Amino acid sequence: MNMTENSNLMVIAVLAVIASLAAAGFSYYATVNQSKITGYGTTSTGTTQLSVTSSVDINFSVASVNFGSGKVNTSALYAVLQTGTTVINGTWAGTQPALVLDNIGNVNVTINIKAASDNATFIGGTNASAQLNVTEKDVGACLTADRTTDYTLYREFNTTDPGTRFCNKLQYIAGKNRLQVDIKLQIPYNSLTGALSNTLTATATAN
Amino acid sequence: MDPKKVIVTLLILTIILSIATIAFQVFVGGKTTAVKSTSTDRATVGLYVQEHPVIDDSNVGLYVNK
Repeated sequence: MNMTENSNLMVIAVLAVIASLAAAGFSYYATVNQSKITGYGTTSTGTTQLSVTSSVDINFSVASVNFGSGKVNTSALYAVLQTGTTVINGTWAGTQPALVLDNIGNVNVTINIKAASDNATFIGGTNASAQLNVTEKDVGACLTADRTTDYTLYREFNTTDPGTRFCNKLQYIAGKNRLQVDIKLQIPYNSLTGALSNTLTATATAN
Repeated sequence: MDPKKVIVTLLILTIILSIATIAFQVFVGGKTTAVKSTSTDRATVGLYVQEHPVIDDSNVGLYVNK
């Protein structure tokens, strides 16, 4: 190998190292900055591609129903407490608003609701009952073909996983993404007394 | 300086850098973001039940003389 050949080899090798360094730097820049350098365009139009990560998120925008303090009327076997209306056969005052569940993600979701405590633990007594009714807060929120319950039907709290399915496809589009959850309690004359509480857990799964 | 040694060294460096670039892409550049597929939220239902009225019995009695 003569001197000229050696020089050529050295030039090529140095260029190779420079190219490798440039490739490493480019990779680092592209990864850190998330903005990718694209190819040079030769026409006035082009196509941009991007991917949007799906996000499943729900939120109780009204997350509490508190019926306050009261008791069953002396002559009655039980009182009925229901959101949106006044109490029957009891002294609980006022009208309580229903829970509101929002789909705040960017995909349609399936909604299941589960209760933490059964009727005996939550209310106690004879013929205690705790029910909920899920309806559309926004008209068309739960796609009609995917409704799983009659909107007029109250259903007992379900303490078994994954709870009761109330909507197969709750939309995420603003203005069509809210469900209303009404509560109806039957408090017998011999129920537990004091502060009673139950927790409802809504679970959303991408659909 | 022996040109052959320099060339060999540079070529080895090239190989190492190339491997490093590939490793970087595999372990850093190729990561995907985990997609959240479920979500939960909680609400509470509460009330206070006052003591129920005590149901008591009363007797009505009389004594009838002989």
